[in-house]
Amino acid sequence: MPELTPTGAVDVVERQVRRVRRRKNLYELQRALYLSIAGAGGAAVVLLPVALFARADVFAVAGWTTLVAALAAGGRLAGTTRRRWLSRPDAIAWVERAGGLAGRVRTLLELGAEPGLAAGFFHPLLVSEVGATLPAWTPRRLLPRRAPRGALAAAVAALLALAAAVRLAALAPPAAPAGRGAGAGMAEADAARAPEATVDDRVIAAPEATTRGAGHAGGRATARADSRLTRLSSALQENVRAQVWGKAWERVRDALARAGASGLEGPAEGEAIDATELDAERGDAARFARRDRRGGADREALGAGDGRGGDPEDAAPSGAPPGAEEPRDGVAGASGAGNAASPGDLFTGSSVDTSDTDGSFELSLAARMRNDPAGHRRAGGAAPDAGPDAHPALAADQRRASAVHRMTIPAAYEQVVREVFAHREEP
Amino acid sequence: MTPAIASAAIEDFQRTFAAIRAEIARVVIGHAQAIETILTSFFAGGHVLIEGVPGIGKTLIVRSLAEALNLSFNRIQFTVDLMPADITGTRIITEHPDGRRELAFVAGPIFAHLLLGDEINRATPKTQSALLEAMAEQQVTVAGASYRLAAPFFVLATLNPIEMEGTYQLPEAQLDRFLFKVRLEYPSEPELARILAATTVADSPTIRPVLSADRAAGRAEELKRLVREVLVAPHVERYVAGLVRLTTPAGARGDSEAESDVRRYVTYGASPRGAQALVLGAKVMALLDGRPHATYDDVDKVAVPALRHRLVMSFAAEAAGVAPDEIVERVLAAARRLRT
Repeated sequence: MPELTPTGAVDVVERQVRRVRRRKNLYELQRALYLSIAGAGGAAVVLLPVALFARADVFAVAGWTTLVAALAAGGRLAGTTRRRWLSRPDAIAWVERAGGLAGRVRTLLELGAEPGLAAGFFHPLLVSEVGATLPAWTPRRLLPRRAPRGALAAAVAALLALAAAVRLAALAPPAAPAGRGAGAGMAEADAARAPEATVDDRVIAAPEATTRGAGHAGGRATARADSRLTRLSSALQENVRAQVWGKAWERVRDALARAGASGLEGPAEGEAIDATELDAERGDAARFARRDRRGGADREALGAGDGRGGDPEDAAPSGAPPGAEEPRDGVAGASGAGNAASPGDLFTGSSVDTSDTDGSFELSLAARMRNDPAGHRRAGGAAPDAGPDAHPALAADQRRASAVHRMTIPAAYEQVVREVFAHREEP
Repeated sequence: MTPAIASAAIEDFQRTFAAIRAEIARVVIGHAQAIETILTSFFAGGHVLIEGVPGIGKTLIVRSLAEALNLSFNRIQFTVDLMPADITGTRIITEHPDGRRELAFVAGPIFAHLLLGDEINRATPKTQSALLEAMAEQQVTVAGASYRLAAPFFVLATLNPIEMEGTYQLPEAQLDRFLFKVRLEYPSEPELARILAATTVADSPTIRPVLSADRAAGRAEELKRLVREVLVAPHVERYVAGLVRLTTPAGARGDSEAESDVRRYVTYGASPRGAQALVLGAKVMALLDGRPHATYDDVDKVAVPALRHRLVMSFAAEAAGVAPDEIVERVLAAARRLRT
């Protein structure tokens, strides 16, 4: 190393301090980065099985807890890094301590910045002493390693563990999404993805029923109570499942959705399921739907043949194209719209044969939807007496069940509507 | 100036200092820290106030120092009837052989390199103040004429902390002119035994001068100049300034316990002379450590003797029995945050 001269000493020392500082700060940055990776990887390893196999609420709790812990750890790591980060004065002090220089470097640099102070009797001696110590505090000497090995090893280990966890999870069969009924999480995920979107061509009937369905009040209330955080965690959980299980999960999800819409019981919580089973169930429902369509078509043919078959209002125009909007009250039209035209199979096939004999018609929707202010159950019997201060005729009229055939619903409520209007056997 | 010369100068300073200390230690048993502080003050160009009970070697230390340095030495026993002229000297009528009479100045005992003012607090303030000009400006003025004191001029004044009756407290202005205040404690039992063994025999040890008689004053001045050459970086100066400010109630505005104590127990803090004392003392410490520059630790080493007599304590401090040393120690601990 060249001997320092009093005139150029400050520059040389300044450069070396800069190099030390750069190396140390880079080291600390790497440490923070690797520890962050290790922490995030570890958290992902823990959360992955929870996301795949646990209920949505469990995952939400675990996820948010992990997030809070991660934020706390991140804040602490940031604080530590900030404390270890070397500003220029800090770098000089660190060099002084690490090299045992007893303030020589700092004195030289400070006095060198003021030429008048550097002309003292002892200045050459100070320069000489600092020059002699230069090799003792080179960046490599003060910080032998470029990277923090411990943190790096932790990051690599966490990533390997995460990769292994993902691999193992992908090999496992998709499990039923447990929680508030099959597909609740998916619905929430869908809602999170497109909360404001509406699907105009999806029409269902009896919106009042969706708001009064006592049997599903729990799900609806929960949906109302769900915070955005919960929806976010559900969306994340759904995303994780989709990423890990890919198409297998999509099949399961669709099958579950179809099963849910058909009123079929979903699998037990966390139970591994086979999409083909659900598809088979879906096939049953489709067969019902086809039969329903056939019934409608038969009636249509009958109506077209003799010109008086069934209720005249039920008859659809013979030349109506498939999928075209049907008459509001027509059986065939309703069944056609319900069974075939809806892209999302909202109107799944009814299990009830609609070839009624009493001349009335029934929508070929999965559920009977009635504008029934009295409750979810079908109104029956005579209307109750009106109150003395009411209009009896109006009250009776209001209590009369009347079908509402179509209503535009937001896509976000699709799953809920599916559940509410799903066909079920009367208890 | 080459580094080798500067390095040799530091070594010469260290050798001389160590030799003087060793010579004094041959006669004065114990009080090693006090002797080092007194020597530090001498080379820093300041004066020392020594506080201690009678009979523990105050005068012996000063006399030994004078002998080791081979400098002139005078001793003044301050009493209540001592007059300023008894210290500085006076003009008296002298008659020449030709019968002509004139006023001639007769120098007082203050005209010496080393002056021991024993029990300075027994003199009246008027007499005490006679020392002020000499200590600050190294000259005395008698009847309108100023007389320069020979360099080096070093005053060591002693205070007797007991028998306060009939004493006059030194005014702050005079206290401030002492670079350090040294407190002599009772010797320990082993030291006392050694004192007895050394002083009750026929041949008492004597001091061998470290500096030659003809060059002693010059050499002492050289060494004092060398001390002034020691480098003090701005960050050390800032530390000293912050430390001194912390001893003042106005400067101690923080929430730390030390600053709270300062506000409570200190009426007046250290003056800028206190800061000068810290820097000069730190320079001597740096040389003794073989460094051409002063550090924080050098400042800390001299903080207590440099600041303890500059703090004017409040009545609350006296009531609570809080000594200035404690306050300085606490301030030192609090001042570590000033080390940037």
